Amino acid sequence: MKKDECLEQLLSVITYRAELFLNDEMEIKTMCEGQFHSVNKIELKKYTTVIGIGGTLNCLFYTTYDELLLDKLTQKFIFGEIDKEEFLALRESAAGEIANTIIGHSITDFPNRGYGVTLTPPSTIEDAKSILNTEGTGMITTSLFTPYGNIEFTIIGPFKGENCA
Amino acid sequence: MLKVLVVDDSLIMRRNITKMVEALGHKVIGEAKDGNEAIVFYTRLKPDLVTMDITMPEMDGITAVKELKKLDKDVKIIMVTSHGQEEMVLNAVRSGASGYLLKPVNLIKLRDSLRKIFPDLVDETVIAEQEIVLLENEPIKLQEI
Repeated sequence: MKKDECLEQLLSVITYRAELFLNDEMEIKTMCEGQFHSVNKIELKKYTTVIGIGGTLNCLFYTTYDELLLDKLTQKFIFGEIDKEEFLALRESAAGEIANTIIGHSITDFPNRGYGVTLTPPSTIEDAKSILNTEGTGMITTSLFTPYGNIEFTIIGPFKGENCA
Repeated sequence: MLKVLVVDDSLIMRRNITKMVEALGHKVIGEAKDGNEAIVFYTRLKPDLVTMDITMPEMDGITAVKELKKLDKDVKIIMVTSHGQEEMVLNAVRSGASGYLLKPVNLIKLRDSLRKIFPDLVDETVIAEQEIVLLENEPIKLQEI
């Protein structure tokens, strides 16, 4: 299997788990783009979270949110009452936690049921513009559409799973 | 009433768990951002229960559980994880965790975990139970967002 096909498989699993999470846990209806694009550059939205997938795999997972959708997700994620100031302070943290939850739920569907896979804590960046691919790495991206905007997932890496070049 | 130490690198998770613990009638006496802080706070504060994230910078949750067990073999720890991965959860339990909660955490999951670890607390949490339905359904009050 080629590198991009392996990355596409991973992203397919993550997108499926993300749809379940958004629909069932966050009660936000989603429509999956259903296509995976091999690209050399991704444009980032206001908030982007990156998680390193290590151990038996080796790639980076980016989640980038439309602002309105992140506001809605943050609102759903927060327990109890909150004022505007606290809400804004928690939004960045929510972006990381949502990406972390999605990837965490996806691990059992990874090759070998995810045994030996490690994850870094999520790191959220604000106002970054784009990420460029470098030679020798694959970059696969897809989107989920919701009434509040899109969430885009990107996997970058050499991936070193079984049967992958 | 339980005295609880919340350990998580995520601000929103620390805040949510703190609010839930309080809604169940208990008290959060400290919040730590990683395993190192957890050990310092545990030694200083002697909580009845620790809620522990797994993936954290500096010292991860599983290492922190092992260290806390060395300090106090009776320490009660609930792991809080987004990992559906059996390996991770098993590691945590083998390391000495009393139970685990799968994210996203809600009031019911937390209450049930507390009841398993502290069966004597049933009466106290039953009182709070009437409020659980209200809190879970209460719309979040946001202004100008």
